[in-house]
Parts: sequence; structure tokens; C-alpha cells
Amino acid sequence: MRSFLRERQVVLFSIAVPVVLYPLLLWGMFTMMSLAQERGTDLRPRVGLVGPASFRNLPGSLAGLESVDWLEVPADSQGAAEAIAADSLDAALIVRPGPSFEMLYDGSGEAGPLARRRIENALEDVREGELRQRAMLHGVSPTSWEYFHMKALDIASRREHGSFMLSLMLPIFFTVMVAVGSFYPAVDSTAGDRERKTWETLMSCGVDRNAVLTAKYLSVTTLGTTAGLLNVGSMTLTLSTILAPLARGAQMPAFSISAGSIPLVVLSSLLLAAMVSAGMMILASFARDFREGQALVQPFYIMAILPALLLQLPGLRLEALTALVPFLNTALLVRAAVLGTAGLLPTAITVAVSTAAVAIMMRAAGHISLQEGAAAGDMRLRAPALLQSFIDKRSEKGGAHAG
Amino acid sequence: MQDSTIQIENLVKVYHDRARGEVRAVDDITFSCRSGEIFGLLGPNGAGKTTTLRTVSTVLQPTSGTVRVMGIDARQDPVGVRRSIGFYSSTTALFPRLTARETLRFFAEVNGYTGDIRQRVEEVIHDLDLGSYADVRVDRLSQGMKQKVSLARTDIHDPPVLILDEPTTGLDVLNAREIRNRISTLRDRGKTVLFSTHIMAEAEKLCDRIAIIHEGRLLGTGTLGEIRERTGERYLEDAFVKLLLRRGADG
Amino acid sequence: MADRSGRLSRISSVFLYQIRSVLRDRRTIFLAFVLPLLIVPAMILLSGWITDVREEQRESVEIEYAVAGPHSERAANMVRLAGQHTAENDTLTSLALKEETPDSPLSSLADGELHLVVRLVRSSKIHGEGESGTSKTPMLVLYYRGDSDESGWAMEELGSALEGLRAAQRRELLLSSAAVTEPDSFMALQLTDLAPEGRAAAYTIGRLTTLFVLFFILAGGSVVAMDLVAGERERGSLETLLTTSVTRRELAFSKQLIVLAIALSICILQVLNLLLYTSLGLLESPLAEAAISPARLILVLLLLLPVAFLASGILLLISSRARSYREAQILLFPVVLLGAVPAAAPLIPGISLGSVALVIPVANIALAVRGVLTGGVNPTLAAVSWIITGGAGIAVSLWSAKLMGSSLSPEADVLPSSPVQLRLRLFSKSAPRAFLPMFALVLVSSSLFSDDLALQIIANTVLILLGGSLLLLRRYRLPLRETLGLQLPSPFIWPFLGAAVPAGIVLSSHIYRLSTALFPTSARMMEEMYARGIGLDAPLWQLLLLGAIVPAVCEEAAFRGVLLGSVRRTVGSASAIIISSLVFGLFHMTAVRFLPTAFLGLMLGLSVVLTGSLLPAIVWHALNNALALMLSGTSLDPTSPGTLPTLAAAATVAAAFYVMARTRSAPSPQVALDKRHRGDG
Repeated sequence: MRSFLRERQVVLFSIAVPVVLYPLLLWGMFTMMSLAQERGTDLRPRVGLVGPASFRNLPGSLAGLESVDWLEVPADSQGAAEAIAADSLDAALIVRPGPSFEMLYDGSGEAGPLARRRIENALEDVREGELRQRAMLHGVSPTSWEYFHMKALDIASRREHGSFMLSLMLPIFFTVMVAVGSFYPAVDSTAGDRERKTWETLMSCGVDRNAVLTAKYLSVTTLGTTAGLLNVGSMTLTLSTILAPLARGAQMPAFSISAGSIPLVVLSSLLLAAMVSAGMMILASFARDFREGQALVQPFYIMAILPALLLQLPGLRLEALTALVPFLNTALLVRAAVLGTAGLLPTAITVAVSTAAVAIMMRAAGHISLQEGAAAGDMRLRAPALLQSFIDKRSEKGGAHAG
Repeated sequence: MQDSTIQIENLVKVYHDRARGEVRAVDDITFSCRSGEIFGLLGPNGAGKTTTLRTVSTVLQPTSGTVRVMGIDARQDPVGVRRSIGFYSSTTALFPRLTARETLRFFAEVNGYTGDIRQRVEEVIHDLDLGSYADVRVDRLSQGMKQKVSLARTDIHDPPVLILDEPTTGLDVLNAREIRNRISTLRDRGKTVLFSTHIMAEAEKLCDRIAIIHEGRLLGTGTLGEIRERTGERYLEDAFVKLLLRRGADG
Repeated sequence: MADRSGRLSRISSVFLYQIRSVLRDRRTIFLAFVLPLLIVPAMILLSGWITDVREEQRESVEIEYAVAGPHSERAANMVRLAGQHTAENDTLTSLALKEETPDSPLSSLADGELHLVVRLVRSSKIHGEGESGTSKTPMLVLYYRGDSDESGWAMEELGSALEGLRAAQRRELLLSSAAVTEPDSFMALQLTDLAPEGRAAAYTIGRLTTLFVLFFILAGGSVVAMDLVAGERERGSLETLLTTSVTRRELAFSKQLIVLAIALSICILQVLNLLLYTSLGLLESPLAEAAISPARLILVLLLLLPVAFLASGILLLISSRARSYREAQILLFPVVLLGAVPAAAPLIPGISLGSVALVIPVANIALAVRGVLTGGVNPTLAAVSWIITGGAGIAVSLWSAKLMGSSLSPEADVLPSSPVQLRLRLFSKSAPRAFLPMFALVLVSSSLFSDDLALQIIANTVLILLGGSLLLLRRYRLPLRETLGLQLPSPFIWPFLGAAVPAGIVLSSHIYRLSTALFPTSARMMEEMYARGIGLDAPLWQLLLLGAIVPAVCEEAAFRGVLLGSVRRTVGSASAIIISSLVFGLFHMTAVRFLPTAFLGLMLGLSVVLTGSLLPAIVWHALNNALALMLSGTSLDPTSPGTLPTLAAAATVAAAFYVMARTRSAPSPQVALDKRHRGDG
């Protein structure tokens, strides 16, 4: 592992990049988002007014419509429609005696729907008011009219909001970064070594081949786990530092991870890194050089990340059933850890399933490396042949037992 | 008096290594080669042979001194130099996904070979016995085959000067012999071949003239006969050791 | 004296054979061409599926609620009525309500066992709307959990059901009291969306197209570009080429052509892909609604050509700077992310081609593409965008050709010939990278000391910036004075500098105005930023020390001393000034302060380069901060100087720089350091 850390590029890519890139990225993202938001509220749609002169001062009397630009009036609705089509107006309000209203607008883009929303709301308020007045005039009591007020109160604390948002974003980033963090070391330690021809050197040492493999594996896993953990930390830190100054004072979610959930996060990181490293190393050991190794590992990489994408589905939680699916379970575990909702049984199952997966993969890796072709390092092993040799070995053992 | 095709005067190449400090890879080397001659650079590993050859072929720039190939100064007109040479070294690899034939055609085209390229390529393939794998992708060839293809492409555009850095290292006995024969033939056709080796026996067999290099410095130049006379030894290996001792004695 | 006649044939030979080699790599074909074709339908399907599942879930939510408070019976009643009303009248939604009766409803809600808690309160407890009679009207409070999707949905559903109930009630009242004969048509509002069908879908596509295409070009093209330069260098086949008759420039040009060809093919392929899913409607998706004519798509393709050109130039740039295949890959990652930013311009509302976005490459094309797909773009503006982006592409390609040409030689760097030179070189390479962890540390410290500004300043500037710089110098054993340039400049510059400081502030104020226009910040935030200042009632010496002197010394040492000094050796002084200013701006971590800070950095950097000394910059910085602090405490409004003062300020600053340039006595210290140890040859 020392040779890894010496290679600056590995450290850079696997560790420094997530830690440092995040703040920059998220900063950029949030700046853009707040920019978009501000722009959105500042947007002034252009609305035309069509109707008899008596309604000309209607806009003034409509509350909340200062945020709309009332433009010079086209003569009739036809003109208004043409103006909208020609993009000189975003919407037009046509007032007819009655009064009744028609609103034409351009539904694509942002200005049209914005105008529609604002005018619709304003007219609705006016309408309500009018109706209320008339009702009162005709003897309806205010209480009957009001019937009831309504209000919604969010009892979730800032912390809970924070955890919620974190739990949405974190699993996928986490999974991706562990995968990325393990990717380079995994490929480098197998295919890269082949390329550098140090593989043969190692394989012909007096050291037990399995021990060599295990050592490599452990170092890769450690790097992957570290990447994942750094990630979680970095993300939380970034969110709390960068978001906070941007909107201090408002009801901002508080981002933090409780001390209790940290062990679970570490655990998920470890499990995920273990599985990912094992798989990557196996695939990469079929390769002759770094590029080939990369090419072989990439599908696995995608496969590992895919389940995390599914987390978009609402209601997907870490339960006994979902804990049985590798890669999905670690992502869910991390989410549950952040939310503080990890149950004992599902967690245990996750651990069990992941460990089992790792064990199977390591066994396979050991078997492959013992093949002569792998030691020579330049044979493309064929899966059927591999399987055949595995079966042969098994039958040998079975024979030995029987015989 | 034949004109020298390669002239090297007081060539010095210095670089800095983080671990070793200042290294004089080539320290004041002077020699020249003529057409129709095989000139060998002889010396142990790390003597500075590769650096010298790379400097002559304009891959590296000399720290001081002059290099002239076919009368062209390498510092002033490196492209002109390159047009007249073919360079082979273990640091020059081939394109993995082209076939041997395509490789040869490419280098012929790119070096501006003026004759019928197709014919030339077939000729070279035949001469070097590459026929059986001429249409195999380079990355599927064995080391020995790759080297042969590499050497073929060095000569494919028929340059007057060939600079070969350890061309037979890594080849098996038969292939190495083939290469040596080829080099001889090229010399007979009037080319200048400047090549390096650390196998003294090879130098004995092939070279018209020899320069012995050790730690970047020239220990001695001349024909085989001249060197034998000077040192009183028959085999180059012994001659080399003697020259080394003499140099050491001189201080 | 390369022979011109052979040039074309050499270039075409290299091009043909290399492209043949490239295309034979299965991985390239897959990544560049096949994968994008697969990703698009995969994403459409996946997102469609997820949306469907979400909708289904939402519809099938059974709202588990409880009532609380003294009027719980009434509340429960209302909820039931609302449910009934919806069931009877609203055929679209079905409301499944399930009343639970836990002991403490609110804590059950908090524990997640319930979706909602409903409570009826007398309005007298709530701030009413001020009309008489309102005080008797009860208020229904719906308690929900904002961090739960289902709770949120439940709240919305029940809310609208209750509103429906209320509306129905009022309708009844209107009819029975004969106040209005036809309540439904009273002041009715009819809404007509004039947008042609599918326009909305086209809009979405238009906003995202450029981003996607750019991403695919960068991803796919990078494989080729990396292989062509970095990969070949590693393999050794580059050296083979270098000893042939091909000149470096020709080689660079051929490689550029190859990457360009690949980029263009990817571009074309993607547009065709788009055609498949929109006009031909291959998959059942909202995208298919966008009826985009092939003619429009061809126009989009034309617009995207300069983007492909620019992208290929950028790829080659990275590839030439990287020394190995892996390094190239590491560099690619942030570049792709940065490239996404301008391409995402159409996603920000309110930005149109007619604004400042017109001059930003890629962003302008992205906006034009959106325009084309939604039916209208100004042809002149589109043409201008095309030219600007194309121009940027040409500039980048030329730059990358130059870099490639020099880097193609295996001796791309002049090998150092002295130990100090070697250390300087290593320093120049690692110093800029050290700013990355420094940035992370500043982030951490900002969050740790977010309350105590004084402590924050000390931590950030002294510990991290100054400390980091000193550590770097120590590590490479470089002399402090010369590397940072701490010698005195010519005494003539000082008066001019003194005048330039306030002049600089005047100029910065314009930049500041521009910045607030680009990055609108709420008034509240502005107040916050001011309030978070040290607290203007602190003693003067403390203000000056912490706000002016300490930051000046530390930031100059770090940004102008270390960063500018080291980056200069690799990219030249001009780019180094720009880069160090940008990083300087970034370190202040707020969008609105970025531009003014970077502007100040530009001026400071220029002063360092022109005088060869760090001291003027330190003084300038300190005076600038001190002056700004004092101004913010007074009522002087520096944010809107007139034209005449601005011109005067510009002239003053220009004069100061002129004097600096003319009175430069010694070469810049690092150069001197270099030369002294260079030896000859």
C-alpha cells in the first residue's frame, strides 16, 4: 500500500478529489440554483390587457400584480394571440362584460406560466372577495361564509430536514465515490502490476500467493473505505458551511450526522468498499495492462452504482427483504444511518450478505490466480475453461474423500 | 576520401537526476562515420550509447557540441536530419492496432518514399521473412517478431543513414543472425549504419569501425585491427578492460 | 525548411493510419458511439418508470391521521365530511382516510406512525385577518412532517379536500341566499394555452440538448484524445513518429483532426439519436410529443458544430499537458464538470440570447439551440453565437497545437542543470496543487469559526495561507526573500501607488455593481454580510490589524507570492496573473464577492509582475482593505461614482502601472534565482 500512497496520482484521485472537488462543486451548484431562483422571482412577464375602457385600471386594483409588466394593449383577442405567437407578449388578459375573463398565454418557457399563475391567483382573490361581499349583502353571516381557516404546520425539526435532504443525496454520491476511490487502486494493483511486470516478480517470490492477493485486496479496500468516509464528511461539511452563509436566519435545515450514526456509516463504507474492490480486482486480473483493466472493470462499476439510482423510488427502505440485495443494501444502510432508522435485523442481514459476497468473490479470485495462465499474466482466461477447472478440482476433492 | 555522413564533435549531454544529482551521460565524444560503413558503439549498460544515438537522431538536444548528419546540423535543421535517417531504439514502439504491412506502408508514406511504395513494402517483407504474419496486428505479435517489424520500418523509406540502438537485444539466435545479415547487406548497398551493442562478439563480427564508450567517455576509436594493435589483445572484451585500466591509470 | 509539398500527404497519411488504429479499438467504439446511444433510451425509460411509480404511490397513499385538541370531535367530523365530499364529487382523486386514535397524536406523528394530525383551534388564539367575525371562525391546523414524502402528500391531499368542502359550502350559501345565480360562471377565468402541442416538451429538450451533446463528446472523445497523445507517449510509439519526416506541427495538426473528426461524429450521432426519440417517437415518452421537424434538427446540428470544435480543442489541451494516460484522466474529470456550467445556461430562467450570455461560448450556442427547438431564434444572434464559439474553438485549438508541438518532444521540459533549479521546478509544479487542500482547510475553518470572525480571519489567513506558503518554501528549501520577492522596489512608485489605491476602489465599485447584477443577493444577505463584519465598534487598531494588515500580508504571500510565482513558470506571466486572481476570488467563497475580489487580485498581480516585488502588493492590499473598512462605516456611498471620477480613477491606476513598469530596476527575483544557478549551456 505504501507504493500506492507514494504515487501521488492515486492519492489525488482517490482521496483529494472528492474532498476538495465537492466544496467547489456544491458551491457552484448552489450559487447557480440560488441565481436561478432569484432570477425566477425577478422575472416580469409581459401581459397585455384587452377589454373595454372601464376595466383599464383593473391591474391597479389587483393585488400582487405589480410583478407583472402590463403592456400596451392590443385591440382584440386576435391581436393578442398574434402578439403572443410573435413573442412580444407572454400572456394576455381579456376582460369581457359580465365580467368574465379569458387568459391567453404561452405555456412553454417560464414567463407564460408565471404570468398565468400570478394573474390566476390575483383574480381568484378578487373573485372570492366579490362573492363574499355579495353573500354578506344577502344576509349570509361571516362565520358561515368563512367556515374555517386552514393552516399547515411542519413539525419536523431543522435537523430532521437536514437529515432528510442528506439521506436523499448522500447514498448515490457515497456509492459513486467509494466505487471511484477503489477503481484506480484495484485496477492498478492487478492489471497495472501485470503491465509493469511486477506481477510476475511478486508471484515468484517465496511468499504465499494467496497472502499477496489478500494484502493487495486489503489495501484497495482501505482506500475505498477511506474515500467513502471522506466523502460523507466532506459533503456534510460543505452543506453546512456553504449553505449556511447563503441563507442565514431563514429556516435552514441543519446538516449534521449524529455521533450514533457514525459507526454505521463506517460499516456501510467498509462493506461497500469490500464488495466493490473484490469484484473489480477479479475483473481486472483478466487484463494485461491498465487500459484493458479499465475496460473490463467499467461495466462492474456501472453495475455497482445502478442500485443507488433506484433510491429515487419513494418508500424504499432498509428492510429484511431489501437487505438481501448486494450494493442496494449498503446504499440503503447509509441512508438509514443518516436518518437514524437502521434496524438491527436488516443491518445484520446486510452485513451477512455483503460478507458472503466478498467471500465468494475472494475464493474465485484465489482460484483464478492459482491458474497458471494468471501467473503468467498474458493469457485471456476463458470463463468456461475456468469453470471446468473449478469443477475438476471439486470432483478431485470429492473423489479423495470418497476414495 | 569519402565524405563523412555522420560527424559528432565534442558532444556533451548533461541532465539532473533527483537522486543522483548532476549526471554527464555523454561527456565530450567525438567520432565520425562514412557511407558504406558499419560503425559500432560499444560499451556496457549505462555507458551513454543510447543517449548518444538519441541525440544524433534529434530526439534529444545536446547540451553542447555539434552533430551533423549528411552535412546538416542537427540543431539548426532537425527535420532535415530526420529525413535522412531511420532510427530504431527500444524506446520506439509500434502502433499496436495496425498490421505489420500497414505499419510499413505508413512509415514509407510518412517519410516521403519516392518510389513505388507497394513494391518496396513487399520487398522488405520478403527480405526479412515477415510474410507469415504480415497481416497480423502488431499487438498480437511476439517480442521477436515485433522487433523485426520495427527494424523493417526503420529502413522502409531507404534512408542513407541508419541508427540502431541495440537491434539484436532480446532476439533469439536465428533472428539475431538474420538481423545482422541484413545490416551487412545494407552496408554493402552503401548505407551508413551506426549501431550500438554491449555484446563484444557481435561488434567483432559486424563492425568496420568501433568506438568504445564507458561512463559517457570515449575510450578508443578505430577499426578492429587498430584496436587490437593498440591494446595488444585479440578479443574486444580484453581490449576493453585494458583501455579502461589505462584510462584509470592516466587519471 | 520542411518540404511543403509533402506536407499534405504526410498529414493525410498520419491521419488515415492513426484513425484506422483508433477505430479498431473496440473500447473506443463502444464508449464513444454505442454507449451514448444506449444511455438515452435507458434514461428515458428509467425516469419514466420512476415517475410512474411515484405517482402510483402517491395515489395509493392511505392517509393515517389523528385528531387532537379539545375540539377533536368537530375536527374529525370536518375531515370526514371532506373525505365524503371528495368521494362524491371528484372523480379524479380518491381519498383514503383512516382515523387512528393514539394516546399522544403529536408524538405519534413525530415517530412516524401517523401522516397527519388535525386540530381545531379557536381563532382568537391565532392572529386573524383583521375582519370582524373572523375571531369566531375556527382554524384547522394540519400538522405534518416535512421530511417525509408521504406526510407531505397527505397534507396536500387533505388540504385540497378541505378546500373543496369549503368551496362547496360557499356555493350552497350563494345559491340559497340568491346572492349569485350562477356561482360557477361568476367572474370565471378561462385559460387557454396558446403554445402549440409539444412545445413544452421541445422546450425541455432544447434546454438539455447542448449539455448532453457536450457531455457525450467530452466523454467519448476523451478516450481517443488521451490515447493519441498521452497514451502514445507512454507506449513509445510517439518517439517513433518523432524520428520520421513529420514535423511536430504536422503531427499535432493530424491529431487534432482526428479528435475533431470523432467529436463531430459523436455530435451528428447524438442529433440523429434525438431525431429517433422525438420526431419518430421511438419510445413512448413525453419526448415524443415534441414534434421537431428534421429541418430544425439540421439547424441544431449546424449550431453544435463549433461546440464540437471547441470540445475537441479542450480535450487535446488536456492530453498534451498530461504526462501519462492516467494523469490525463484525472485532469478530465473537473474539466467536464466545468464545461457543464455554460452548457447549462438555458436551465436558468430569464437568461436569453440578447443578454451578456451572447459573448460566452457554448452558453450562447446552448441558448440558440433552445431557441431553435422552441420555434424562434434571432438569426443574427445565432450567427454571432456561432462565430464566437467557433472563434473560441480556433483559439483553443491553436493553443493546444502549440502546447502539443512543444510537448511532443520527449524533452518537453528543459532539464534543470542545478539543484536550485530543480527544486524551483518541483516547487512550481506542486505549489499550485497545494492550494486545493488549503481551500478545503479554509472551508473547514470557516464552518468551525463561523461565529467568531476574528478567529476565522486568523485561522484562515495566518495559519492556513501564510502557514501553507511558508511550509511549501521550507519543503523545497527555497530562500524566502527571493522566492517571494521581498526586496524593495524603486521608491518612485510609492506616491503613485498611494493614489492608485482609492482609484482602484472606485473601479472595483463598478465591478461590484456588475457582480450584484449577475448574482442577485437578497437585501437581507447584504445586511448580514455587513453585520458580520468585525463589529465596527471594535478598537481601531484591531480593525486595522485584523481587517487590513494581517490579511494583506498573508494573502499576498500565498496568492501573489507562491501561486503567481509558481504558475508563472509554466504558463507565463499573463495567464498566471489571471489564474492567481481567479483562485484568490474563489477563496472568498461568496458568489457576489468573487468578481470584485478577482479584480483586485488582477491589479495586485500586475503590480507584482511589473515591479518584481511583493511589497507594493502587500501595501496596496492593506491600504485597500483599510480604506474599504473606513468607507463602510461612513455614509459615503461608493457604489455609484460618475463617469468622470471613473475615468480619472482609471487613468490614475494606469499611471501607477506605467511608473512601475518603467522603474523596474532588477529582474523578478525568481528569474534572478534561476539565472544565478543556471550555469552556462
